Amino acid sequence: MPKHSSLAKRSATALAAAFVLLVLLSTASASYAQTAFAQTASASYAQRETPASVTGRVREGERGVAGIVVALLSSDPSQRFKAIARAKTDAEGRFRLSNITPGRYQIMPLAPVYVVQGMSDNWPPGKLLTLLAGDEVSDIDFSVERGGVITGRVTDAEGNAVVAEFVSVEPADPNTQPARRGPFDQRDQMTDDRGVYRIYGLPAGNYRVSVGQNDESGTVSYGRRKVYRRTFYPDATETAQARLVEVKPGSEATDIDITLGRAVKTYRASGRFVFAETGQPAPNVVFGFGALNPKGQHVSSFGGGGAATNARGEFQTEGLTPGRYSVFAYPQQDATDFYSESVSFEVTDADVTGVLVKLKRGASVSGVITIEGLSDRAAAAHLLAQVRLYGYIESSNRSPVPNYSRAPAIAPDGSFHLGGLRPGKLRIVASADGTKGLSVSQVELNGANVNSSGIDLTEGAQLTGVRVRMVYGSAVIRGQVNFTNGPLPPNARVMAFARRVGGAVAEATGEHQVSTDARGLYVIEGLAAGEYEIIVRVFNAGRVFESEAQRVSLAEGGDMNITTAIDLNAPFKGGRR
Amino acid sequence: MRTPRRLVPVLFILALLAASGAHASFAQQPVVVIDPPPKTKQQTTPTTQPAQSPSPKTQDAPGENANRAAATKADATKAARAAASPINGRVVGDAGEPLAGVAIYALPRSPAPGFRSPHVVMADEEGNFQVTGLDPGLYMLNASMPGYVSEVDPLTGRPGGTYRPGDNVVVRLVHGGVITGTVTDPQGEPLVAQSVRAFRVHDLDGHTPPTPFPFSGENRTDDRGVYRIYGLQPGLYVVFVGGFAPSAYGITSAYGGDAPTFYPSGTRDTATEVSVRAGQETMGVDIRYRDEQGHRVTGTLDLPVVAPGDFDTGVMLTFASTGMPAGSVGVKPNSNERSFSIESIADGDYDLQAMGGGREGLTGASAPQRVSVRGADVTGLRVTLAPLASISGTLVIEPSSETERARDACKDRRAAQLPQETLITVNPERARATTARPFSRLSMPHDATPDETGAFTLRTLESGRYRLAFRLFDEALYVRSVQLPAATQTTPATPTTAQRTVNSAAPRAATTSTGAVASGLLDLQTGQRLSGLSIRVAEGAASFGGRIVASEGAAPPPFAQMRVHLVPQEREHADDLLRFYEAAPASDGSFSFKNLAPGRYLVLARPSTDTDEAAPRPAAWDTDSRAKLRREAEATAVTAELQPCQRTNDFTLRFPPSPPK
Repeated sequence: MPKHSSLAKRSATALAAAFVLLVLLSTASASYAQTAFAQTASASYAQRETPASVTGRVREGERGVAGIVVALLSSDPSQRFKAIARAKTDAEGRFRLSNITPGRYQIMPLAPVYVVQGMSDNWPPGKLLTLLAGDEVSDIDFSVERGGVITGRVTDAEGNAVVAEFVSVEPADPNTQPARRGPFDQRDQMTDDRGVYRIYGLPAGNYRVSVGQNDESGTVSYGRRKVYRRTFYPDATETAQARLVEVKPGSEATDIDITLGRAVKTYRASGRFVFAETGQPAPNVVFGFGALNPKGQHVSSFGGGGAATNARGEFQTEGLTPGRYSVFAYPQQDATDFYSESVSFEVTDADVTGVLVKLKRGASVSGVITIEGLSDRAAAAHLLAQVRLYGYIESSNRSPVPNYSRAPAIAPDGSFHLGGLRPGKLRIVASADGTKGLSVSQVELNGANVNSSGIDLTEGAQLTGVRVRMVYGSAVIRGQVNFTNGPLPPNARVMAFARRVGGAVAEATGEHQVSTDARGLYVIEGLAAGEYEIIVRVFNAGRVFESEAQRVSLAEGGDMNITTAIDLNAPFKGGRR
Repeated sequence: MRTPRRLVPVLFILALLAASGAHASFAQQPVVVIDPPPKTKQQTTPTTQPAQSPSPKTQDAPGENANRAAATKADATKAARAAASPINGRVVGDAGEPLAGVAIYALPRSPAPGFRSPHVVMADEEGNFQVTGLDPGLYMLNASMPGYVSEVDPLTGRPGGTYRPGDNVVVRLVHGGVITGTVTDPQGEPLVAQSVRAFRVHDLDGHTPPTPFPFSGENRTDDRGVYRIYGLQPGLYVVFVGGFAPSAYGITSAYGGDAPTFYPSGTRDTATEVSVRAGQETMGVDIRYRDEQGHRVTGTLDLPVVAPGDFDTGVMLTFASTGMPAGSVGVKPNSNERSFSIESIADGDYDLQAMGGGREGLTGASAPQRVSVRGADVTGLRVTLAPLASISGTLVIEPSSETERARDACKDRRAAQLPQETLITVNPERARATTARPFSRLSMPHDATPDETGAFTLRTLESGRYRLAFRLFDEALYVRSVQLPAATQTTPATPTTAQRTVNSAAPRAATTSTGAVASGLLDLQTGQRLSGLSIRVAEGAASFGGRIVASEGAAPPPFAQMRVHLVPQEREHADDLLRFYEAAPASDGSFSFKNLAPGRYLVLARPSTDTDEAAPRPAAWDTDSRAKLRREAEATAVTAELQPCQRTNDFTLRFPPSPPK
């Protein structure tokens, strides 16, 4: 998958990313296989449906906080926007969630006015909780503190309200975790039609409050109206001149008014896309452009709004502040034979014209995908039809120039073709939406394993003989980690690792790893049949404690329970890992 | 990843719908503008390209154009390569003052389906802007500035207008209205970080807007429970908190699954409407949250065929007959169950509809069905996705004859006429008084623009009866005829079905050829691909304008409720709807018609019989009212003879008309 999984900072990015996901995950041709496989994973839970319950307390200091909604969210990220169960705390701050289907969850208070201790920097927020059939889990406690408020008004040089501008609040102390209140909506930090903003739920501390764009690099104000130079409260453009705003728990810092200078003048850039081979104009090319920082790295990337070149291959962009930019073509979903170079240009104090971008014929790779670990051949064929395959060219700098290419639908015999690739080191990734347990085990070029080396592509190369081995696993390991001699240090993280040993695909299958929950429970799903080595590691303050390796043998679709005992008195192994 | 995947197909479907050439546009952006309109946002990714393959090898528009003549193609391609003139304009505010720093979006009304990307330019300090680099064609122009709204075109119910290269445009933005208040829970505590939404249900005159996409605004309550929704189009709104749907941000709500509470503290049926005026603040719209568990509406989606690889489906629930969304969810088209569950639904009546599509745009929809929720979940619904129909054809511009061109009046007409500068619209033909019918999101006018060869396709059509309408952007042109080939090629409908598409309203029009669609009526079957529609446009159009004035001794005519009609006087055009023209007079009684076929007309001004709709239905459309119209026009016997290229703008029309001598 492309590196789109990092948290979207801005809503626009989130929406954009949603569309990336949409296209990346849109399913292949219909098949019954998906359901058949999905069932395997959940069947084991279904067999022991005795509901579970969770109780706990939300407190501020020693006092319980009433009326806080505590929610149980699915551990499946795609389901996380919906609470599976929720309860309000009573007068003593106690909550009870009952009649819960056993499974894995995140549990968290949905209380944006409060700062939940130890959770401001977690993603996903909340605590991981594995509920077994009939579990009655108690003492899931949360400590909260009422957050502070910063409010004020933003005006421009003429005293007019600045509407719909994002107000940034950064802790002055670099050690303070950035304030991110669980369910976050960037609109909560925008000025309204009067220029008024109100940001609440802030952890105590000193803050720099600012509006506008950092001028270290150019900015694309694509459709965003005026661009202002970053200005700190009350009217400073230098970070050092920013007046700090002190926020105390539950208090309100008012009249934090910011006066902006003149809007930054923006410019237009225009040019043409042509085919390098013929010099002919390239019409209907979807192009993007991005601002570069002083090191020449991309700091932002805009799809040009999905804009495409016109019939004469011409493009233009608006709203560029002075700075350095680059422009490039996005690869098309139906992989074309071409890739685009990225052309940079500088905006100083005038419109830029005549930027020429060339489309070059790319390299191609073809081969075959195989699926192992499934004895039912028909099922394997159906699974194959859902696989999508992508090629990525490894890139050392943060380039927004899309470096991936998606193969058209995989043929029934498993053959695939990737075209329009730029030169570089190619990585191949394959996945099937909605099918757990299907992963790439090994990529081979003419029989040689290229998992770690990747495939070197030279300009215009046409490689054949690539084999992508995928393995399907439906077995499950359910683990319980018991600690003796100890409470676990409060900040320790416990993870379980399952590594396949022996067998043809052992090396490549890699380690499966999961975090254990608050009670030391974990589940690893989607494992192929075979021998596995289970190791539990405790990470604490840069040191690692490792359990003895335990071996288990899994059958296709098997379900195995395993218990690991860890003596916290035993010496930590290793050092920093 | 913040945006939940399950939400994505619905966004996608909605985007497809907006891009489908249907009457949706950037008008649908939330009024709280924080970024470019949705269309723009969606396209800030590499993977949401326009649907046509920009494969460098094919330089022609793909799609329905395969069968056109190669020579025409080559010429036309050359023509398309020529740069079009810019669109120049100016953005002004409430008092006509120039507005600086406004983003202007020019969205091509291109013939190809799928996403279109707007050209975006910024107005300068004086509010002036210029959109350059345009290909010939039509463009929808809109402006975006937070807190401001565009004037709404009363005919389409949408902001912004359609223009062609070379036009000079004044874009007017006015301060939007504000709704603000506090939301408290049943204990009187503030409800924090909850989404409050306002949907416009009527305009200020009480008319229901013709678009199925109501204007809306959204904001979230703060730590005091206070919300403030700004930048609202004037009108009457219902305001509610909670209920369906994560917004696009997909945030876990502490109140998810609850039924929505409408202002002041009830359901949609008991909601009090809130009046919003331009530039004014409606305060104290305080909501007492009901804290009531919503119900689920669940079922399964049937697909008639295997979905193609990029196909996505969604199911949408709207409040009965109004089009206001109540909930929606994506359905994985290739999963075995294809089950859906829409949550947070309060008691009431709803309409359920499924839609599906891929990169080629929306291609399937279910017939909408009514769902009643009464104190319990509604389960076991079955929704079947059916393929959507399309109409394709060719628009030909016939050059005028030598004699016509020799006429003085016709001498200074534009030399090159472009088929791309025509808007072909089909309006679903609704039986009257059927508000009880389930609401379909697709039941709205659909339009298309021909490509440079004149080929066009109207897509995303449900089965049913449609009326054709045209908008020509060149004053020199008029629509001469509309024909279907005698043996219409249709897929998958049978030949007998195809026969029935022809001219059923005017069977006795003696001189009309068997294939003519003089009635403008087209019947479409589910999934039918009606092709071969031939639209002939001719040069030499006349225009006709003037003023309605009160007859001697009569009271001032009620201009706002009146319509002016042109009725063809020639017998052979008696039932040719292309020769009937209708216009609403301005508030001073002035009226104007363009793109008229030369000929003799009866001219009639009369009060409209259809005043409850924002866009009244033309009187000529129904056989009875057409006959009545002719009788009245013949009784008053006011006539006008229009020669090719004639421009009349000083016609005086008396009201009430004096009886004929």
